Amino acid sequence: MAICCISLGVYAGALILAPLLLGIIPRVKAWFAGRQGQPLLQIYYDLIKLSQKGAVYSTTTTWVFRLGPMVCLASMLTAFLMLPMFGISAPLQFHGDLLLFAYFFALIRFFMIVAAMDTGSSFEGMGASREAVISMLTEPSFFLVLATLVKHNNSFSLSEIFNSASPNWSLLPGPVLALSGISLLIVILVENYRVPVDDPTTHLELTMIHEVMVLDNSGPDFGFIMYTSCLKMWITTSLLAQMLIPAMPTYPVWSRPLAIFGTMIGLVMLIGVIESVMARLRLVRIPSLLVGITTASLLGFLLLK
Amino acid sequence: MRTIEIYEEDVLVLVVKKKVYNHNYTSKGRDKLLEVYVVVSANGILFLAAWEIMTLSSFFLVTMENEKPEVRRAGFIYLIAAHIGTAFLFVMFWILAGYTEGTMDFSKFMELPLTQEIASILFVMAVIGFGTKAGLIPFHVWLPEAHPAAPSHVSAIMSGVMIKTGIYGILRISTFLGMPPLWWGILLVAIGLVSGLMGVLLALAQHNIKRFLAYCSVENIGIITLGLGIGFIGITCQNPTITALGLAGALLHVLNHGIFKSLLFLGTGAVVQETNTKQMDSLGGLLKKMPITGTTFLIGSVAICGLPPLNGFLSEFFIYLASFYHIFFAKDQAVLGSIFGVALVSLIGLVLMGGLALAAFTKSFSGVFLGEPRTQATQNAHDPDWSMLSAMIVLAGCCLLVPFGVLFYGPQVFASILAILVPSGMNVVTDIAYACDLIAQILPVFGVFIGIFFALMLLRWMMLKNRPVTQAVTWDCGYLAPTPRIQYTTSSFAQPITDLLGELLHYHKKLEPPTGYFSAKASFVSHAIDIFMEIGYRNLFQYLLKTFRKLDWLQHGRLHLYLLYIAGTLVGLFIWFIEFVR
Repeated sequence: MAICCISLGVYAGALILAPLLLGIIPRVKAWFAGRQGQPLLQIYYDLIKLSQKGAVYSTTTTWVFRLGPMVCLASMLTAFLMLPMFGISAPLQFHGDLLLFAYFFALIRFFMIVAAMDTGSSFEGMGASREAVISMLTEPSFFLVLATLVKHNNSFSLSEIFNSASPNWSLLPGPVLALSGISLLIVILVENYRVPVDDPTTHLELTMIHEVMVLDNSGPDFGFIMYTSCLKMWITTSLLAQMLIPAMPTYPVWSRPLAIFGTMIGLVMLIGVIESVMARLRLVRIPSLLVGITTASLLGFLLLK
Repeated sequence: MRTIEIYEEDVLVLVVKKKVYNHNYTSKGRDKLLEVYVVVSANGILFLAAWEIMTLSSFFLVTMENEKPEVRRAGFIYLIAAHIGTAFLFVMFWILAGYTEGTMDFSKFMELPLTQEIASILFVMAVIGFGTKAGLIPFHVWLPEAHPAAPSHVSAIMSGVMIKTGIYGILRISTFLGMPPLWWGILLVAIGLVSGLMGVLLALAQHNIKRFLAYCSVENIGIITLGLGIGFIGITCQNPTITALGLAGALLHVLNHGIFKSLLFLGTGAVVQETNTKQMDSLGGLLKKMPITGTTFLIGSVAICGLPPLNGFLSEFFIYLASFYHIFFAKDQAVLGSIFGVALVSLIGLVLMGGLALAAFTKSFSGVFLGEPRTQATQNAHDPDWSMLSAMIVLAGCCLLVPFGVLFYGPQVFASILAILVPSGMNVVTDIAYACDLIAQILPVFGVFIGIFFALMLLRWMMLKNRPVTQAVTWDCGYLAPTPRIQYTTSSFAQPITDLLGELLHYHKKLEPPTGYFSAKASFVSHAIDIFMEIGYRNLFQYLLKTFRKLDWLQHGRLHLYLLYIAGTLVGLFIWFIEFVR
């Protein structure tokens, strides 16, 4: 019962804290540029504002466009419930849940793409088309990192892989961790539409992917999409953080969750730094980067005994 | 033979659907139930006869609109391909019959004293012969020709059911051949991977929606073969878990593909009938005019991409899990390096297929049903009447309900089929129970997803209840006169991928860019050629034609000389029999 309450508290807390992560990145970038920057809680204000607005729909669109944001958020929330959080087992878990977890990400892509295509705008079509090719090239790397974890922990379940209570749990060996970790970091950048693959700040530029796909969304729909992005950032960084922070039996129980949360904050700050110091890659270069990380994760997978 | 039952169920359900549909689609209602004879026959002769009748009847179905030259051409390609495949099967059955003193009863084939080499030759023949029917690359070339030519409900039967008889054939023959060596499984995995990846890539590059679906069938047959291959490797390695998951995944995908591919072909048929065009780039915006067709097509697309919460996910899940188990297995036994490689390659292949299938189906669905109409073709389109719609609705419902069916009937059905397929020493029952138990754990997650979805729907409704919801044009950057023609087309949607992998596809582009300040004319043409067809088979057959031309002098039309040929052959055979055989 107590465990139940704790996990309920943790998951509810995570739902509330998720937008914070996306608020940190602009602050880091502002600090690099010597600006004041937006408030740390800006995303919360945006979400509240959007939830109180009406909506404008294009006359071209159909119910697919209205369905898209809801399917995306529902998939993200289900994936969220399948992810162990701070070493606590997930509410939804079974043998092979990591496949379903990954496939919910694919479901989001499917509906983002069809919702974008529903507007009939060539802008959004362009973004959707790029999203399709980039996600196709990212998925092998993501699966290979998951396969590395499966191979290392002899388990098919995310909760067992990351749960400190499991006897199999241990840190990946150094070189493997480096290769898989870097691959997963790039996957995080791609999944969250960040530099060097996408640029979330360039509204209405021909260079972008995700922002252009949601150009016609407004009001609560856009709020759903925004919250999906927050959760996605939370889920992906939490995945990497749990991979990086091992359970130390000699340290007190609360130290690991704290370290994981610290790592997640550190990761989003790192993303802020990356965005500050480098520009977006040219589109034709992106496939090379993604094939590169696929190779890196493959190498990590093969190196693992 | 229990194997029959699942097929029979599958076939009958689909055929009944299509009968209803067929009735409305065309007055020339010719139907066929011959696949059933193929799968129930337990005798080689009967099997071949039924096989041949199936081929011929489907030939007539393909050439239903035989007044069009391209339909006749497609029909002939199909006929030739099918008969080359059948030739291999004939030889294979003869060799088998040689071991049983001439009887062709399947029950007699069971415990034959075959050497490893003979068994392997027979297996390769079966893969070629049945693979031609199944549409495995490189024997797939008839599929993209026959499907656009055939009426849509015929395509639905052919793609949904008939090509699966090829898979059934491979499974059937493998039960005669004893313990499979490792390379059989690896061969199947390799063919499956090539078919899957090339199939979906070629699908992505198509403009004709029925060709698109045909190549997509090639992809799915590839996934099925991949599952079979993994299962075969499991048999060789004596690992019941891999065997159960691989074979169960493949068999379940047979059923699933039968459902959603038929659904997609029926939807396509309705679209083609209403708009008279198969070119995806001429369509658009049909979801508003054909809401039910569009919705069921969307459900089919989600299912065929293997996405939750529909049936396609489950079969792909099993095959994924089987390849994950391979990784485990290879880890335990360091010697089996090749299995490790196979597991890894099939895992990456499956992921890539998933990503490409997602791109392919978002492309076709949004090209046909979303956005604004691109041409006048969609002007008068509307949903077809209820007899056609009901078939689509029932099939779409099946996409949702198959997971429950597997939950309740899966253990028995899989156990009885796998009992025939695996050698007697292996007990797969517990592993099948494990697999079905996983479904019991996946379904609640689907339930949670659907629950959250409806909760969000309610939330959105509450948020928008008292607020202004208005309509406007799609954001056009202030451009004054947007036309539907500036929309992204399916070709432009697929362009990043076809550019990236164009070498593999021989993707041809011809661009005539606009020139000068007031340019009037510009054009862009692109098409993907099937290298197996256009380079492989075309050259092969042209070479054969040239070679056989040299024998023209034998064929002169003089009857008495022909009789002499016959007499000569008989005498030759007689001498051969006296001298060498006796």
